[in-house]
Amino acid sequence: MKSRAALLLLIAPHAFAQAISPIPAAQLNSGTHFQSQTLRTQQADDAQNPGMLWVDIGKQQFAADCVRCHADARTLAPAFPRAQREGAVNLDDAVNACVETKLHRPRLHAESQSLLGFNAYLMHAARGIARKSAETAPSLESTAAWRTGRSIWFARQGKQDLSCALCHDGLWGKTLRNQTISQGHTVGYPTYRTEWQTLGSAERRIRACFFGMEADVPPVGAATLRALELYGAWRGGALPIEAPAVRR
Amino acid sequence: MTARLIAPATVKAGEPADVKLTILHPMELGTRRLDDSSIAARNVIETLTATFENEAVLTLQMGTGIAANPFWAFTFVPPRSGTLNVRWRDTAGVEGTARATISVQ
Repeated sequence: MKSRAALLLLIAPHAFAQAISPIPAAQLNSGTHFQSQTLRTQQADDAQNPGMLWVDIGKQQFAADCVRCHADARTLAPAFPRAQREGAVNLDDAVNACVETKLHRPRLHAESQSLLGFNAYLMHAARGIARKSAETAPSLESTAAWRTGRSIWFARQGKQDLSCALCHDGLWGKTLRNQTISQGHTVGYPTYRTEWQTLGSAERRIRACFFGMEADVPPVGAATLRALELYGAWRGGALPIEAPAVRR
Repeated sequence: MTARLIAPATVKAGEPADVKLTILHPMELGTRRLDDSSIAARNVIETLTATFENEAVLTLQMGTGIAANPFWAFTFVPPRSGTLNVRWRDTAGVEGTARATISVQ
């Protein structure tokens, strides 16, 4: 009996991993769906949404530096994250590439007010628009970055032996430490988290997830994080951008 | 200092104006340890005043009990058309201002 119980325990996690399937398009929901009514109200009203402070910062920067080349701010954010020859590139990378090569200024640091401002303004300008990764999905699936992202998504890691898929594909809607598990989409980022008391990027949130899993936290700007962000955007399908979101 | 002051452009005579204010500020408590084990100096918005055409509307004494990026909402009845001026000052002595014009019809 004893050995059979042990065998069952060995089989069970494996069987569970097999049961994880992608979220059907009709059931896709952004993180906002899993927040309290208070936070949803705060997010919906631009007069109350603290993320709008950074949108204002970005608006000023964009008007001063970017409008000469980019007439329409709405079309920029939905194109990212995307797969390029050198790997996956997110909106922050694209902004920094412009800052370095076109404006001839030093790169902006991750989580700096200035970079968060650009990101928040561009994502806010694209509110309601679906990311391009939805329409370019078939070609995206053949890229190395997408495959890397997918392998990280399903890989069990850390002391708790968890994978991204385990929670965000398999257990969304259930609670973990008094928080509802979301589907892990990034359409609301950069997001104002009351826990952070500031606006933060999707990268910061993903790194926090690695910390929570008690796994090795990839360094800021790591190629693996970018690949994961790309895969995450693909997973989000045609979910509309809704940044800056407000989260617990 | 970045802030968002949102007030209605027009209000009917005798009716209240809803004002919303968000200020970008860390509201540092003065107790938090930094990575080098030193303590981050206290830096909070100490006082805030709102005046409408030089008439006091609101005076606030904020302390360490207010979260970062404070949000305030208040209402007042503007006696005539004019400008709402909000000024604040933090522990470091940095001052911030925001203004909005309200016309009474």
